Amino acid sequence: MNKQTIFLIVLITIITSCTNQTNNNSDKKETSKHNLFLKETQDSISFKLDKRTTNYSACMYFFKDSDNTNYLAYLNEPSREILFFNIDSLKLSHRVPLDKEGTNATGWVRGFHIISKDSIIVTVVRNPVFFLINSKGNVINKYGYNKTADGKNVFAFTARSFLNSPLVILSGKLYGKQNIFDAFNPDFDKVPQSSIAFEFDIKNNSVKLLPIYFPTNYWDEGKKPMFFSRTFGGGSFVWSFNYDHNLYKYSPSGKLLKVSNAKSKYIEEFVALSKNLKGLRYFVTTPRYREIIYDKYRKVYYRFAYAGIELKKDDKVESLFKYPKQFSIITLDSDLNIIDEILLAPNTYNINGWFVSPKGLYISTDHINNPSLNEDKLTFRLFKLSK
Amino acid sequence: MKTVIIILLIFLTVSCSPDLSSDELIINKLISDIDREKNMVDNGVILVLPSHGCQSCLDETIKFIKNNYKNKSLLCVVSGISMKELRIKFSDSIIDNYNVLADIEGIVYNNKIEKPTAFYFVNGKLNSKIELHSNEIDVFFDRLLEFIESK
Repeated sequence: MNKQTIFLIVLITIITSCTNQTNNNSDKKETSKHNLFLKETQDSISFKLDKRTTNYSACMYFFKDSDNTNYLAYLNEPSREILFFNIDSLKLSHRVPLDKEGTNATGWVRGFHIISKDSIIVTVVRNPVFFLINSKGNVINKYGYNKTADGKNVFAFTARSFLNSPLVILSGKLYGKQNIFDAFNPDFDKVPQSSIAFEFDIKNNSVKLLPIYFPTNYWDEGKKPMFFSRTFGGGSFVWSFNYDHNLYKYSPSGKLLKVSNAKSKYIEEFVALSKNLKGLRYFVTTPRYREIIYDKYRKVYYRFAYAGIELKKDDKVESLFKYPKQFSIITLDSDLNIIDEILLAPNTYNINGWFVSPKGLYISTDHINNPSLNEDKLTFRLFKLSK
Repeated sequence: MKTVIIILLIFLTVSCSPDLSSDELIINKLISDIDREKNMVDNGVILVLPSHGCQSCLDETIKFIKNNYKNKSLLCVVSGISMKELRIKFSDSIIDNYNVLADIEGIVYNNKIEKPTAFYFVNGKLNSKIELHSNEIDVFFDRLLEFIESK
C-alpha cells in the first residue's frame, strides 16, 4: 500500500466519521415532506366567565372524557379552582375547588394533569409533592419527591401550559422538569451539572434525576435567563430552550436522540442581559422562543417564537410583557423538520392561552389590546393544518 | 449677551431644582401619577406591588396587604392589567379602600419599580427605600409591620 492510498483511506475515514456526527449537528437542515400548513380559520369558540374568573391563565389543557365529551380544563388561580368548560356545549360543566387550608389543602396550585374527570394530579409552588385529587377537590393521595435516593434535592415542578411543561405519565412513572435555581442569575459553574428533568416512580415512591442539562454553549453569547419548555410526543421528549435555536429530542430515560435546528425566521440574534437591559423591558424588547407543543392528533410540533419589539414612549411595559404584541408559530414534523412558520396578527392573540384539540390548535384572542376583548369571556380562534 | 442669558438660565435651573435623590424623584412622580395626597404618608410607608417577579415575594406581599390594608400609615399601590383581575386577586373591599391604589395604567412599571418595594417616610421626607428580595422576606415584613404599627 503506497502513501497515497493510506492517505486516501484516512481521509475517507475522517469524512465518514464527521458525517455520522452531523446527524446530531444543529446546523443540519432537512426539508419536511409534509404538505399541510397551519392556517388561521374563521372558527372560534367562547365561554362565558363569571365575576371571579379571569380570562388569563397559566394552565389550560384539553381533555376528552371516557364518554367522549370534550373539555377545556382551566386553572383560575385567583379563586383557586380548576374549571371544566364543555367544548361541545360551550358551557361551564363544573368546578374543582383547590383548598389552601384544612384536610384537603394542596398549597398554591400552579398546574395540573387530568387523568380522568375524577382523578387529577395538581402541582404546587415551592412544595415538591404531587397531589391526587378527585372532582370535589378532596385529596386522595400525596406523592412527595423532594430527595433522590442519593440525597440530591429535587425542586417543586409545576405542570402548566405557560412555557408548556406538561406532567407526563408513562408506565407508572411521572416525568417532570427542574428549573434552574435563580434562573436570572444562577451559579453558572453548577449549571452543566444541574439536571433539568426527573422521573418519579409511583410504585417504589422514589425519584431520580435524569441526565438532561442545559446546552453547554447557552451563555456563549452572554448571560440569558434560563427558561425552557418541554413536551412529549411519539415516545420521546422534546426540549426547547428560550435562547437556543435548536430543539433537543430525548428518550424518557434521558438519552439524547436528536438535535435539530428549528430557527425562527423572525429571530436572528439573542440579546444578553445587562445592567441597562433587564426585568420586563428585557423580555419585551428582546427575542426568545416560548412554548414547544406536541399535537398528537396530527403528529406535528408547534414552536412559539417572539421577536421582541422596540418600546415607544407611551407603551405600557407590563401589558406588553404579559401580552406580547405579536408572535410566530413554527410547525415541525415528527422528525423536527420545519414545515412552515406563520406570523400571527399583532395585538390579537394571547400567547399564553392555547390548547390542542382533535379539531386543531386553539389560540386565545383575549389580548389586552384586541378591540374585541371582553373580560367576561374566554375566546379562542381555531388554527388548522390544511393544504 | 445670548451666551450670558443661557448661562444665567442654566444657573437658575440648577439652583432652583430641589435636591432630590433619584428615589425621591421616582416616589414624587409616582405619588403625582397615582393622584393621592402626599401627606397621607408623611409618617408611613408606600408599599408598591408589581404584578410580576419572584413568586414568593409577590405572594407574601399580597398576604401582607390583605392583613394590613386598613392601617392608616400604609398606602398600597397594586399593579395589574385589569380591574377585574385585581378585584379577584384582592377582593372588592380592599381595592375600593382609600389606602389602596389599583394601577392598571402601568404607572408602577413606567416608574421602573419591578420588585415589591417599601418607601419609608418620616416627617414628610423619604427616609429609605427597601426592595423585597426572596432571601429577606421575613426581615422585610417584620420591619414594615413594626414601623406602621408604631405610627
